[in-house]
Formats: sequence, structure tokens, C-alpha cells
Amino acid sequence: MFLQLLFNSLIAAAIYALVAAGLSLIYSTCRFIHFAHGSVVAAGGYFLYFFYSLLGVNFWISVVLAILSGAGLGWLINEFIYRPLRQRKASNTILLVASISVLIIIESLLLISFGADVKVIDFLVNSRGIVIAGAVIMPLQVAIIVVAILLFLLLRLFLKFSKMGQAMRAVSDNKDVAEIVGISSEKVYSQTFVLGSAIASLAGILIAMEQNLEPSMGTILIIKGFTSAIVGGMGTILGSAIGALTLGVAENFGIWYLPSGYKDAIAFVILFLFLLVRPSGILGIKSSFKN
Amino acid sequence: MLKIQNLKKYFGGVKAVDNCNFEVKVGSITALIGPNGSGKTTVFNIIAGLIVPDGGIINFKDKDITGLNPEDISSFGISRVFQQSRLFGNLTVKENLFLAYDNEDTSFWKNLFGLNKFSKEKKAKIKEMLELIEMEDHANKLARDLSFGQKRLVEIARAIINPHDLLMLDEPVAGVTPPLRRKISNMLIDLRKKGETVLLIEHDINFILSLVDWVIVMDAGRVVSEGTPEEIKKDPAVLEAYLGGIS
Amino acid sequence: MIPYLIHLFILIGVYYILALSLQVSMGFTGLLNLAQIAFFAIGAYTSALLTLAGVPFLLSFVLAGVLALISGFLLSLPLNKLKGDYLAVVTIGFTFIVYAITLNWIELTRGPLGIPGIPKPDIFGYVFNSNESYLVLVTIIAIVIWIFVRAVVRSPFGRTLEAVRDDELATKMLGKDTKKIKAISMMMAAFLAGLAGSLYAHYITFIDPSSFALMQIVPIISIVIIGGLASLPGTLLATIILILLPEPMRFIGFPSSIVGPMRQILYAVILLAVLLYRPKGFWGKVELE
Repeated sequence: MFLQLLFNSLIAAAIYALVAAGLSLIYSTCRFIHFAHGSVVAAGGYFLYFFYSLLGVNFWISVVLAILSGAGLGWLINEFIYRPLRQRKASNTILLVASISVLIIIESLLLISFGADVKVIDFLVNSRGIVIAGAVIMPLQVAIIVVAILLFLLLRLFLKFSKMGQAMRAVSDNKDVAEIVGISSEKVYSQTFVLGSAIASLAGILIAMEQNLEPSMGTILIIKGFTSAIVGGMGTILGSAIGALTLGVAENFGIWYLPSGYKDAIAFVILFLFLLVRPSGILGIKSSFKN
Repeated sequence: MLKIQNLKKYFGGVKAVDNCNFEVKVGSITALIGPNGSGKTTVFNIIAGLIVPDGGIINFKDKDITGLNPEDISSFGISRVFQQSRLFGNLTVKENLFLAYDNEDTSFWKNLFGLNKFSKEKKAKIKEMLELIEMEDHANKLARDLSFGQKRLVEIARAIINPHDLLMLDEPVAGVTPPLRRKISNMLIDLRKKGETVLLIEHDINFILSLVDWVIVMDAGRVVSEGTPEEIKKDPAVLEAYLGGIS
Repeated sequence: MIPYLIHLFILIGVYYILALSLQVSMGFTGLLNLAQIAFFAIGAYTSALLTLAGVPFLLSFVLAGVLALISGFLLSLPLNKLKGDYLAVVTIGFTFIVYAITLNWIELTRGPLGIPGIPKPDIFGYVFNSNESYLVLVTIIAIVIWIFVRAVVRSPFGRTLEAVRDDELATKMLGKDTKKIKAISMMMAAFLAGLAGSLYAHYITFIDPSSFALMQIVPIISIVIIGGLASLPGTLLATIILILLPEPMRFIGFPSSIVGPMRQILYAVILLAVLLYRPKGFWGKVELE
């Protein structure tokens, strides 16, 4: 039993971590909470559905197309909404309100385009579960955990060693100094959105395959992703992972005691508590981006 | 009334305030002057409660007020005007003044049932202040629509009308036109006539020479000289601190 | 046509009260309080459950406001030290918690099944059965609330709210207890939202958690910002305009499953447009910060 709960926690953690990673990345450079990130995750899943299930394109090509589309969507949001607002010296509170609006617009568009009924992606559906000491885990779920870990490692390497990654860290550390050194903060913001949204789409794709698609999933996911980021330490990759793990464990072990309907409520309560008592998270991050 | 002892504040490796000692006597207008970077605004902000010092004691009316919050400092009777305007931009001049004077305005029911509303005495006091700063015509203008000099004037008026024992002003006439400078100067002299105590931070020596009783000169975080304006004018240490003398 | 208009004006009345409640919090005190929907929900459920248990309407109505007010007070405690977007996110979190409770505390709220058959208001024997009479009820209550809010914001206390909005530290330095000011503001806003919730519940006669999801705050924020922060007349005009605006969509022939999300999109787009092009709104004197 314990092992099964552990597996479930790891799977949930992997998903939340992927959502949180993109959100954290964007927060660390752009310094506001991009609430609409959740809808980009949902959009990623729906893009896969669109290309693979509706258009019948080859699965792997569909995955690539979906990730590119999601990244593009993120880019569009930044370019046409956040950037103009920044030009008007909008505070990060205004950006938060704007991003809630974007979340609703995208979710409503998804609802209109695809309908409210739950969609299924029929790839890897008929696989057999792997049984370890009485606990079952599906190959897809293993894949999700592996992908999440790989992605985190890649992201870490990217931020540390690549020119773009270093520019991101510079802007997140101190935007003014970075600009003096010649880094264009707007360009970095753009790149961050593309990268963050690509990760979001990937998360959406994995979730679409593991669970199912429905238009309002973005709202729940962003709450969980945001909770993970806050719990671990907003603005850090490691924080996203720690927070996601904490949340995954809390949820899955929690519903051993509570009725399962309260699963989502656990996330809300943890979020609320952390924001009040320890907004800097487990790692105690006040601002700026750290590896 | 105010005694600063061994005040220290470091920002990283920079000693912004380094063993600063001075006293402000009751009923005097004292100026704290020094070139840019001498630490005077830091001292001001420490006294005001915005910055916590790394060492030293601030004694006000025989009480230790070191490290207290800005709002607690207010309750001890220190009224402050900062370099940057802290007026309530979306409120009118009159409202800004009322807020400083009206101490009953946070009780919800009293105010709702009109038991506090603009009592005669308060209205008269506000009118008096408006006349003093010659802004009766602008009484209903939003604070953010005022000119820089007017804002300064209102802010000083607000600090004066706010019940206090010590008035502290950080560069009150910086960037202000000469006629308004004179008006502010006269306001401060009036205050001294009434026996009030004022501490001024100023960069401009000429402004203070005719106005103050006592000058404290700071440089590089410490007090390098003290004396009457006459003495300070001739003090070589002061001239050196200002690098090239008084204009 | 007339019954349709009456329906719309009842909604305008309810939303006007909700918008006023947000105006007190956001427009006058500068708190980006997105929890108004939570207080709306608390008011609605309280009033519904109490009247169904036999408590007279007037008492239930008042208690709906009171319970919301108490929640508002509780929420204000931790919010005291928070600012701007962190404050907003905590209020969002609160909204979610209330939503989760309405969805999961099945013994009390019947969860997703909702509460049907909420009785029409019965005041001293007169039952507000018809929509016409309900419109009169809502209008009277809205006017009373408007007078109340107006009195508060024009009083010296109202000044302190605006002072807190403009510069909280400066307000503190003038010796004012800003914690108390903010708490009172929050309680007042919550109380009004609770009353609005009660009026809503007894009109629609059926409530379920979906009416109280976070996204329902978007039209309210839009109204407050478009009308202009700290502008009472602006709030009224904006409520009327924004409630009436999506209605033509019904007549264009959109299938009903689309009208719902289209309305959401319309409100969200309007909000974005105002944030981008006219953050002061049309009648406001204050810009959103």
C-alpha cells in the first residue's frame, strides 16, 4: 500500500514539477505570476489531440508540433499582452490580473473549440502495468517520471552553461545590471516565455496521455504548479521539484485519510498556509533565480 | 531633546554612518549638513525608523527609540518630511491636512454617524494652516496635480499640523523656487518662536545660515564639526569637506 | 421582452452590490481583494440553508452578511503584512478553499448537486414571488447600500481608506492604525458581498459551486476598473453596461453551449483592453496599481 501511494506521489510530483518549472522560470525573469501558464499546459494537450487524434498526423510528429504550438502560444501572450502592459509601466499586480484574463480566454476558447466533454488520446492505452512488490505502475507513468527528471537536468545544464540560460539568470538576478552589460531584457523575456511554454506543452501532452483532457484542467494545474513553486521556493528549478514532491506526497497520502474529493482542496490549503507562514518556501528564496 | 550616540550603519563594505554623535537641543532649529554621501540622509532615515542601525543609541526625550518602527516613532512625537514626496496623491490638499490633524478618523461608527465630521475646531485649524501656506485657493486640488514646490509646502504643512514634539525635515527646499524657499524659511522661524524643535537636513549652506541656531557638519559618515552658523562658515574642516568652499 | 429586462435589471442590482463591495476594497483601500466571490458564496449558501431550515428571510439575509463579514475579518488578519500580487494570490487561494468546501462538504452543501428550492423572500407575510416584486426588493436594497457606502467613503474614515491606498507607510507615520483600517475595509466589503449572495440565491432559487468559481470575479473586476477606481457613479454605469453588453449574443444565434464561454471571453477581453488602454477607467480618479 505504501509503495503504491509512493508511486502515485511520484507521478503526481513529476507532473506538478513540470508545470511548476515553466512557471518558476517565467517568474524568476519576468517577476510576476503568469497565471495563464496553466492554460498553456492545457493547450499543449489539446494541440496533441488536434494533430494526432483529429488530423491523424504521426504521433511523434504531433508531439513536436504540439510543443512548438504551445511555445508559440506562450510567445504570443507575452508579445501582445504582457509586453505592451510593461511598456505602460504596469505593476506586477496588473500583470497578474491580465494573466487571469488570458487564462479564462484560452480556457473558454478550448471549451468552444473542443467541447466540454473529456477527450482521450489513444496512444499507449492498452499497455500492461508493471507490478513491483504489489504496487502497480504503468509504463507511461514511468516515462513521465523519467522525462521530468531528464528535463530538470537539461534545464539545469542549460541555465548554467548556455549563453541564453546565463542571460536569463542575469536578468533574473538584476535586470538593470544585465542591461548595462548589453543583455536585452525584453528579448530574454520573450525567450523565457517560449522555453517555459514549451515545457508547459510537454507537461500538457504527458497529462493528456496519462489522465484525460478537459478544458478547465488548466486552472487546477496552475494552482498545483503554483503551490509547488511556492512550497519549494518560487523562482528556482530545484524549488519546483521539492515543492512538487511535497505536494504529490501530501495529496496522495492525504487522501488515504480524507475522502478523495478533498484531494484538490489539499493543494489549496497547503498553498494558503505557505503563503501566510512561509512565502519564501522550503528553500527560503526571497527573489532572484538560483540553480 | 534628541541625542544620537555612536550611531553606525554599514551597507556591505561601505560605512554610511560611522560613529556619529550629536545632540538636538529643545527649542532650537538644528541643521545637519554635509556634502553628498556624507551619511546625513541615512542618519535621518535611521532616526525616522526606516532603517535599522548596526550600532548606537538614539535617545528621544530620555527614551531609547533605536530600531523602532516608523509608526512607533510617530507615537513618540516625531514628525517627518522626507526628500521624496509622500503626499496622498489622489486626495486633495485639504484632505491631506485633515488626515494629519484628525485623530478620530479611524473610528468607523463615529464617523459614519457624523459625530466627528469636520468639527468647527478642526476646520478652523486647517483653514489657518492653508492661509499660512497661502494655498486656500488650492484647497480642493488633488495633491498630485500640484507643482513640486507646492507639494513641498503642503507636505511641510502636514508635518507641522501633525501633533509632534520634534519636526524633522530632509532637504525641504531642494529644487524649490526662491519665493517658496523664503516662505518655508519663515514658517520654520515662526515655529522656533513658538518654542518648537526642528532638525533640518540640508545640502545648501546658504539656506540655513540665516535660519538655524546650531549646525552639525557630517562627512564620510561622521561628525566633523559643530557650532553656530558663524563659526561653521569659517571652519576650515567644513570648507575642506565641501571641497572648494561655500558658494 | 419586459420580463427579460426585469431579469436583467435584477442581475444588475445584484452585481452592482458586488461591484460596490469590490470598490470599497480595491478602489478605496487599494487592496486587490479577489476573494469577493468567496464571500458571495458564503452569503448565498448561508441564506439558502438558513431559510430552508425555517429561519425568516430578513434574519437569514442579515446573517448571510454577518457570516461573510466574519470570514472577511479572519482573512484580513494574515493579509495585513502582504502586498500587491502576494495579497491577490492569497485571496485567490481563499476563493479556492471556499469553492472546495462548497464542492466537498456534501453533508452541508450537497456538493455538486447544489441546493435547489430556495424559498422566495417572505418579509412580514408578503412573499416576493414575482420577478417584478423581486426587482423592487433588489432596487431598494441596492439604494440603501449605495447610501451607506457613499456615507462611509465621504466620511473622515473614508479618507483614511484612500490614504492607505495611496501610501500606507505615510498613513502609519501619521499615527493611524492601518491594520484596523484595512480590516474594517475588508469586513465591510465581505458583508456587502454576502448580502449580494443572499439576494442572488433567493432569486435564482438554485445554487451550486459552479456559480462561485474563481473566474466569476473577472466581470466584477472589469466593472470596477472600467467604471473607475473609487468612483461610485462609474460603478453603476459600468455595471449596467457590462451586464447588458453580452446579451445581444443570445439573439445572434449562438448555440447555448457557446454563450456561456463567449460571455467569459467577452469580459476577459474587455478587462484586458481596459488594462491596456485605459487603466483609469472612464470615471475614475485613481489608476490601478
